[in-house]
Amino acid sequence: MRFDSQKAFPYPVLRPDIDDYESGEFQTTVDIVSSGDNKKIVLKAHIALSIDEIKKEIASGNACVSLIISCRETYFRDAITSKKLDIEKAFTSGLFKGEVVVSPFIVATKPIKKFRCRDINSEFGVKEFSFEVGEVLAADEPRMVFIDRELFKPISSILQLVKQDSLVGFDWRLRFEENKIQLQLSPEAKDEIDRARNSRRNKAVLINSLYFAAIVEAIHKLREDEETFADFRWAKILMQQCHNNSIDYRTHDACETAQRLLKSPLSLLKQYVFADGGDDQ
Amino acid sequence: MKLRFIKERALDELRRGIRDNLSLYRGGDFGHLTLDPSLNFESDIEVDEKVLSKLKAPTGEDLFDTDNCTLMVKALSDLSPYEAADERLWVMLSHTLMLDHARLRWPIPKSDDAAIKHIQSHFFASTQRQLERDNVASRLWWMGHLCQRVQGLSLKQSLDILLHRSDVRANIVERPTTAQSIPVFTALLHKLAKSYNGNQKLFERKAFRTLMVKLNGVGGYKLLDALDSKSVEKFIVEIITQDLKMKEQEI
Repeated sequence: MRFDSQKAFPYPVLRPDIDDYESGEFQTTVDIVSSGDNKKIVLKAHIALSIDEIKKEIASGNACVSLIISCRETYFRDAITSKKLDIEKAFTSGLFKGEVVVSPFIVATKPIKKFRCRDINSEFGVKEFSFEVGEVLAADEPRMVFIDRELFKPISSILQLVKQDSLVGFDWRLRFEENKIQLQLSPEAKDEIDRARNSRRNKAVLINSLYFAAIVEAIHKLREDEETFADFRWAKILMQQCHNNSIDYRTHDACETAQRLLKSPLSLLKQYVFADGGDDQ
Repeated sequence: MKLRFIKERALDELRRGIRDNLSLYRGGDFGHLTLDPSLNFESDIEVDEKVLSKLKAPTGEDLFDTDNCTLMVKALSDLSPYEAADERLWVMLSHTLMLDHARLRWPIPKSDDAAIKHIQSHFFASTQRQLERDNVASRLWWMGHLCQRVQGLSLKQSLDILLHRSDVRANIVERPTTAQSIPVFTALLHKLAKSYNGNQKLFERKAFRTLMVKLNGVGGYKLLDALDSKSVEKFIVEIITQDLKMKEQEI
């Protein structure tokens, strides 16, 4: 079943923006995080439900919360059912790739007869309702998150340093027409940076200079011409990371967006460059 | 042996170079993809080459898809859906370990233009549909993977049923919600199993499409995912008797 706020049910279904119930809420907050070793994906959900009569049906075993978690790319679909309003479940990370949708419902697990609630809109014309097994008492808007091992890597993984013989000295260029953003450097500069970036201090400098500039420019490229660039892997990862961080890359300040995606790069300078006795390996 | 994935750049070049490589597709080989470390990377996934070598070539009208799906799932028993959704893996297999099988199962047309379209379809997998239906290697694994999830039927039974009619397969697999939902997929296969061993009436195009339309209608108002497959089977039986006007024993 897909969530559709406009679908007409012959019985009241508690949903956002629909007045089957004159007052009342069923809202779900969903968080999906990767375990530290990236082997598990953990889903945590908290349900806010204000209708006591529905809570009673759940408590008595006639209904349950059902979170449908689905991923088209891997053909995964599962229903997490619970009587509790706080749910947590771990999944093997290999089950998901790309867009993962979590759709919250409250569903009848046994036939429910003579369901009454004073908050039900009187326009139904009757005061009592029946629900058959499988029919929904409440539905919330789906939540969507992107899951990919690439997304758990630093955003800098979409960058690639390459030698460009036509460049001299320390000039550098960006190219966006490949699956990774190419940071083109002269052979001399490339060798220099390859040697230097093994040090955390030097890497902090690189992140705050080359990488930061590249990510800002990438955001501008997407804004100017999303159609041209959207199919490249770097663009997909960037857009998906923005989505997962609730950033609208089309409107949000590009400099601020880059800082969030690079996880506050200035703090690395503080830690490895400015600090007295900073790591000098 | 560990599975190798073709690198992204090499994949892009291979896709662009189909016309130039036609002679390789017809009768040469792509051994350089395996030998040149700049073109591939090794994964942690084991592939049983011996099992893969047993893939059967078509004989007459017999395509041996059930046998080959079973072999593919066995050869790649370590593979996760995450990795199986990666085109780079399947392109590598299609061009190397499964190249001979690909030529026999999907013979390359004589016309160059037709050959290019054919190769794009069966040797690459850039879209979801290609992964599921067209690529010589990935389609076998995905069919096997979907059928492995069915409880109460062996893999062979599930595959025989799913692959018995192309319209049935397409209507189930290409309606992703149906194939994704284990209770619905299981319930459908169990009823199709009964029909397969009986009069096979459910496999008739009109009957099956009506069943799918009605089942989708039920799914619009009942959360079938939250039910077990036995409960979903009851809905299917209702559709068979009330909408298809058949007795369950007749299917």
